[in-house]
Amino acid sequence: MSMQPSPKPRWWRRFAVLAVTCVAAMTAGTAAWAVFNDQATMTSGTFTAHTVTSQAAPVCSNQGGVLGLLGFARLTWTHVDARYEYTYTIVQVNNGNVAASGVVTPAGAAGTAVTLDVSSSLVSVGLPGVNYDVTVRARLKAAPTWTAATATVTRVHSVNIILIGLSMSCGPL
Amino acid sequence: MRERTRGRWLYLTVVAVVIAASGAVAGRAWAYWNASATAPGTSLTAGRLDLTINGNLPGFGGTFANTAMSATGLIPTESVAFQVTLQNAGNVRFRVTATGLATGGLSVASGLQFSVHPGGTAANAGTAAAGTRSGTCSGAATFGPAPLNSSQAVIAAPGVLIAPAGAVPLCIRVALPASAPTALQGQSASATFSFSASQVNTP
Repeated sequence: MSMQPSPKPRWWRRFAVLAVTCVAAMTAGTAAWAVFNDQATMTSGTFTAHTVTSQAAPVCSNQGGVLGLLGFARLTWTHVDARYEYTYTIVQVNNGNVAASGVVTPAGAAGTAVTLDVSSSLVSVGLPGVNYDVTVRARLKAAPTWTAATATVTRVHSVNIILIGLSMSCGPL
Repeated sequence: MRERTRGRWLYLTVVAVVIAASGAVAGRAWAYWNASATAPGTSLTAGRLDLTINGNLPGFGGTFANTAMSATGLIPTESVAFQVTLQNAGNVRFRVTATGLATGGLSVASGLQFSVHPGGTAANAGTAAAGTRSGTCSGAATFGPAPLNSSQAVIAAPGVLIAPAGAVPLCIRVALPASAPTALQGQSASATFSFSASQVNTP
């Protein structure tokens, strides 16, 4: 006696199609799950960059040896900030030539006195009766490009002392 | 005949169970439950995912104003490091990703530089008066040093894993580079960090 496989009924094909469709829908396409989540925001305070502050106008005083011979002009101002140093440029007024330039780096704390002695040797004075403008500007030691927006200008002049030589004195000639 | 019919139903039942099981295994069927449901004799309670920052912001969302994260009078070459704690105050494991954005005149390419170190701790030395402030963060950075003048991922996916009741320190370093131009004097900026915590399903 032989057994013949009976043909699959119609309902079986329908069920197979339905099953395949269900599996495909559940395993493919866009996911439908959701997850827990939380959003938290943190804002900072303010970060501010420093502003380089200019020093006060220097006080000029005449200094020198006996009878003012070989004297020089001393510029004094108050150290603004321990982070600062000061550049100076001495320009001959009548021709605009830079007679000298440099940097004064104070060792003291803010509030201490800073001095710049303008002598004839510093500016290589050759002639008496010449006015010079001393420009002083504050800047950061750590970042020399950060300079104060304003500078101070103090005028001094050269003086001829007979038989002794040239001296520098405060003020215009 | 009855036996054949029973056999078919048994077969169909097995197939249906397999289909349902395959969906569950593929992980497509779970959902975010935000409420609890009580069945007779049992209680189903949803998990709770809660990210806090320094113990702030319990519950969903919110903004924490970390005013301590600031610095004044920065000069080029100075830096400051800050540490915050990201904590899992819920009972669901999650991963944290984050973005950052700084705004203000100091937030330019050559301005403030940010570094983000998940798991890192902050250390600071020097003084503002001497212009020697120096902040450091331990551990590897997931961002920076770089400006945050546009929104950027500071903790990218997959993020930092935090277990329930766990906490991870986060160190953020803010620096003003030596190349900062003098035009940045007096400028300021502030930053916003947005953290996103998402549950982790796999162990």
